[in-house]
Amino acid sequence: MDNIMECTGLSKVYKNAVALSGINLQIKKGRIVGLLGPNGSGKTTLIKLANGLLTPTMGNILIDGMPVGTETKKIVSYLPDHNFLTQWMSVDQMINYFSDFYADFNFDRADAMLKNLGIDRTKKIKTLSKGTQEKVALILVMSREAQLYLLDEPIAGVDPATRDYILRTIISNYNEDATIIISTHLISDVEQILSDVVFINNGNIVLCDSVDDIRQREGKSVDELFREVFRC
Amino acid sequence: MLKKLYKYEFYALFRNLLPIYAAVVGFALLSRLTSLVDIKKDIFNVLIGFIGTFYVISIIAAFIVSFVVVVMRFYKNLLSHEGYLTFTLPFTPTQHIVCKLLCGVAVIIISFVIVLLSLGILGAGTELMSEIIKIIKTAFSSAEQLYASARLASFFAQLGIMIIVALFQSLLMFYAAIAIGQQFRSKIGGAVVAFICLYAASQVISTLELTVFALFNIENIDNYFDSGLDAVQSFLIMPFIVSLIFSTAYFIITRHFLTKKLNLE
Repeated sequence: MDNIMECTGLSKVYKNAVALSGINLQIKKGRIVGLLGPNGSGKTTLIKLANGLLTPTMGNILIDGMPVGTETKKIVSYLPDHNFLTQWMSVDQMINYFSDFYADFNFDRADAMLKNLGIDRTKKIKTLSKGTQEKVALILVMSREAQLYLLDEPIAGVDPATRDYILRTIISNYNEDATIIISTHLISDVEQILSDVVFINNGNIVLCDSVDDIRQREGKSVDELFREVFRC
Repeated sequence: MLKKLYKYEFYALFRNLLPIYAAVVGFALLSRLTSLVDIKKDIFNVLIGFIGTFYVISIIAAFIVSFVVVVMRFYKNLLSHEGYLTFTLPFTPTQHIVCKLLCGVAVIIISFVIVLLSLGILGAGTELMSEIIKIIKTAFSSAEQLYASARLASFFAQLGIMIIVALFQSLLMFYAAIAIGQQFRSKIGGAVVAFICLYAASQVISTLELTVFALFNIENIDNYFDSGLDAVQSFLIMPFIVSLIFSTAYFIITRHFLTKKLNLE
């Protein structure tokens, strides 16, 4: 099976709004994919559906050929756009929590990254600054040897230095057979690491292509193309 | 791996409750120790009064706080920002609900046992305690009394089961109300409204059940109350069944909303 994620006629309708409108999408294994679109375009909904945090209204979504469930959660590492860390735990307890529940958690990798950033493992999460909490969350998520990483707005709301660190962490800590889907609207920052892009707007897939093909065909960067496609 | 889910659940609950357990046992010990000392000074009597008051407050707090901690844990761990991690662990929503429910009931029962233990400490070596031990010994002294004791024990066992089922029912009612409440813009406001509706519905149905029971037994009502324990035992069966039905309904509602209509912050 070449595809790590496959959506067929996938729709999600909230009370008054259509978040995803019957999308068809295939994401291949071993790629770094940018899920790009303006705010409210359906990026987070798609990622939540892939994690089982939402149920499709229609259609289906498969992860490595399996419907979303306990088996797919074992191979998907998810960084939500919210702080999901348990505030009363220490960094060490959070690491143990991840290693207890995810068989693919690489303890040494987490340890190395924490040492690298000088984060005190004995400190409680609630005592860390917002930026440090975001780094800890990313370290935990990227310390898993998962097959699919779903990173929802990993660089939103952080300073440029942290942004660089996050992107470096992402590209240096994933196995080449794994796939990373990064949802963002800060395209120029992530463009350098992407192999494919998916443009999404109003719950529809507008474009799904490789970065190289876009540059060759359109003669412009992904950021330029995005600004053109989503011009207000 | 499911064992680890229970381990973390117990840990999260006990970290909040251990200080209260320590207070209950501590005040019981202090009360017992002060009762052994014979000092006739006003200041000492005031101190004894304070310790006694704090002991009673700690007992009440142990019950209330354990219930609140269990319900809050359900909300925070599943439906606040922590839910993003909890629901992406490799478990089903049903496994999460069952884990929270079983650990919650266990913790409330443990709180009850701690309070009993503290009463034991308070009564250790006193005349009252010797009287209780004497009554228990007499109850098992002859075959006739043994039969009566066995019947009494079976009655208390049934009562105990009823209380535990009622505990499951009340926790599940809170869980269902919280699960429904997350559908609204104000999750806590929605949960309060949902709780009031569920509570009102349960009261109406329970009253109906009692009325139906009374109507069907109106002719035998005198014999019924004359037959003592048997009557009480058979009288408890209907609420027991109704409790089971309510618990199942609340569980299904909670599961439905956490599976199909999850709406995290």
